[in-house]
Amino acid sequence: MKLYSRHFGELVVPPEKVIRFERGIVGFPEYKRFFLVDAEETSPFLWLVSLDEPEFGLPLLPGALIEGYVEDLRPHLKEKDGDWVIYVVVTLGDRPERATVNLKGPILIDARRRVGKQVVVDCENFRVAHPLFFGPEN
Amino acid sequence: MLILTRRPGESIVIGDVVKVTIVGVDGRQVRLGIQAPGDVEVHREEVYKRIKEENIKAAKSGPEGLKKIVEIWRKAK
Repeated sequence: MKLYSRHFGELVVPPEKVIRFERGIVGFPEYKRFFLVDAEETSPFLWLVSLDEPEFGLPLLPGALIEGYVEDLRPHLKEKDGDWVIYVVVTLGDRPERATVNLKGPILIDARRRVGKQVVVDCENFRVAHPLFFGPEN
Repeated sequence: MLILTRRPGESIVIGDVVKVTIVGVDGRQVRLGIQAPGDVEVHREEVYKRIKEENIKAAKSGPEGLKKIVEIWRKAK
């Protein structure tokens, strides 16, 4: 399928790259189909773009790039089956130096089964707005 | 809204699958035990709301903003 987005330009999405979010994203249950835009110029960041609303996209970063995060998170996840890859949503904010990542609401994607979900980790150790570039003391 | 009065140890059932038990009451705090199937998400409301708000904020950013972050990230690595 082909679609046009103001943000992302023309997107050509092969059917096998459509990721289904059965429950949508927290706050956006109506968006069920997404596409992961993995471009060289933004690597290692990606965009999770809704195919139901192409202007809606969340910047993601693989959770594995945040030191210790995946190891700390795994015990809190119910998702033990499948090949779930963990991503965190990036909030750019007013100044790029102050960008944050949401450690409490990671996005899980199983590319093989083409399914995804956002999970809510109800644990105080994980912050919704964790600084991306500075230590937790900032 | 349906309002029910319960004592510690008593429960309510929602549909066939969800059971909420009053585990204890201590002053202004109530402890609830919730039994639900794995596909039913149970969250404290404020946590859920906070993530929703953060998603709304995150969705406001466009490729221009991300460009700067990519630069900083690559410099730092």
